[in-house]
Amino acid sequence: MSIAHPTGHYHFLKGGAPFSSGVIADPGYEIVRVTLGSATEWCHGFDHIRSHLTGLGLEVTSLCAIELRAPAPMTLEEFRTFNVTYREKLSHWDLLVDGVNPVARTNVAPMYSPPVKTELYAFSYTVPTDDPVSTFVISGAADSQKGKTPEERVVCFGQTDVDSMRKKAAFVVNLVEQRMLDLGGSWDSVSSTNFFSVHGMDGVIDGILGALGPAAFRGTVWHHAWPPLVDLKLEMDARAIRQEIFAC
Amino acid sequence: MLINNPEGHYHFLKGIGPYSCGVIADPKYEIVRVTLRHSVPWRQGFDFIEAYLKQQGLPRAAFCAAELRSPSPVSFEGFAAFNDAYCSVLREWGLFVGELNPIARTNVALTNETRSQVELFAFSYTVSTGDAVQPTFIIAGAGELRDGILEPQSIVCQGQTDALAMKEKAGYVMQVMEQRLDGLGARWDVVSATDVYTAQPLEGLVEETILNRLGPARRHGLHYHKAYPPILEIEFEMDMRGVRCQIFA
Repeated sequence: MSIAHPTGHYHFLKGGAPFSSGVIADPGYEIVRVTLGSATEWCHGFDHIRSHLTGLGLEVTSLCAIELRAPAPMTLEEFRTFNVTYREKLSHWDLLVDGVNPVARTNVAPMYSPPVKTELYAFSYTVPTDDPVSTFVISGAADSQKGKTPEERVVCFGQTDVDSMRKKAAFVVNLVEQRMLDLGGSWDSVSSTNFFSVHGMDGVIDGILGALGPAAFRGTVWHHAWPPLVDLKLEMDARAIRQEIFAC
Repeated sequence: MLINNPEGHYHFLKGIGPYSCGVIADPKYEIVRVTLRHSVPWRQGFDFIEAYLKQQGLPRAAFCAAELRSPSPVSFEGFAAFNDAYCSVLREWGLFVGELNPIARTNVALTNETRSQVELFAFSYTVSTGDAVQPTFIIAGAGELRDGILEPQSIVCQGQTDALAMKEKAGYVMQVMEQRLDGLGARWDVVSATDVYTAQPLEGLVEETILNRLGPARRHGLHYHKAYPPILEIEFEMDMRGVRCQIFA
């Protein structure tokens, strides 16, 4: 089900136009994640990525995941507009595979100290390794499903009480798990799980941990942030990474 | 006051017998944190650390912080007994600086724990970077134990777990984090992770008591562990770190 990237040394799960659903490194390669120490507007962030990768002697096609921080949740129209520009950037870098976007993404809007413009928070790329480790990144999955109207699309639309948040949590965990299994990953390999919501950390997080299998042993990171679209209330991502760098 | 550990290439904040309050790498060195994919019994963990360091060409003295997972919280007496055994290994390794233990530590017990003995979850060590890098540091786990004195009457709001008491406890622990960060000479903007360990409800604690005081560190979220601090009746623990490189081994 996953698609081989011809030059990136990873496989990806087809998602939508703006991002893939997840990426997993090919044997002989591992995914490394870099968190930026300071905020950088996303376009400039791509310059940072290029110089980071070039400095390591890597091609830009090794870039396989992006994490963004938006100023605020967007309307569908605003989100589409942003994604067109974002996808153009990926296309300009020749990252698309037969018109399909292979790069995973998480994009959320922090409640505290939100950026003025969308910023690059972190990125991931593949490098050769002797370690047989399985490394992967699952894109942010929100409480959203197929449907014609917002009421149909959003799980427990308009509700943020504890029961509704638990239902949303169960939905996103299931979605992330499915993506992980489709990529050939497992909870045992997961090094980090992240939840993004301004609602219901208490009362929800207990149940979440119970659904994460062995990954719960490593706890979970809760970010007070909104998913990128108005009406969505909870998002989750996960990754299995051997090397994480926190850059200046 | 920061104390030099020249062999380890880091400075540490004086703590109590079982652990220091925190460590910060010397200039041109950095602290690297390693999380074990599968934790191992703590004594075996020291063998793992030694082998890992040896592979990197590093001495035992580079080891600067341990993270442990206990089967369950224990009494003050049980804690002291474990610490005696733990410190005897540190002494055997020649890690004490005079009579002081320089190694930072976090030790908690997950609520759904199934293991039967204390295990090594993660460890940290110093390594040369060649160049000046941002300061990297580990702040040891602290529960609501006034001045770190290991006796029941030092527990903030001892025996109480209502919302108000939990707020007092969390507020005290945050204050300890702030003091240790300051004591190490580090800054909020280089904190890369903030961990919270509690089995009690978080309601009313997170935003006002913690996030409002984390400054720029809150951009990385709050790492939650449903866990007990290592001693019975202590209900809330935190630790923090600012590291550039983390390995999941």
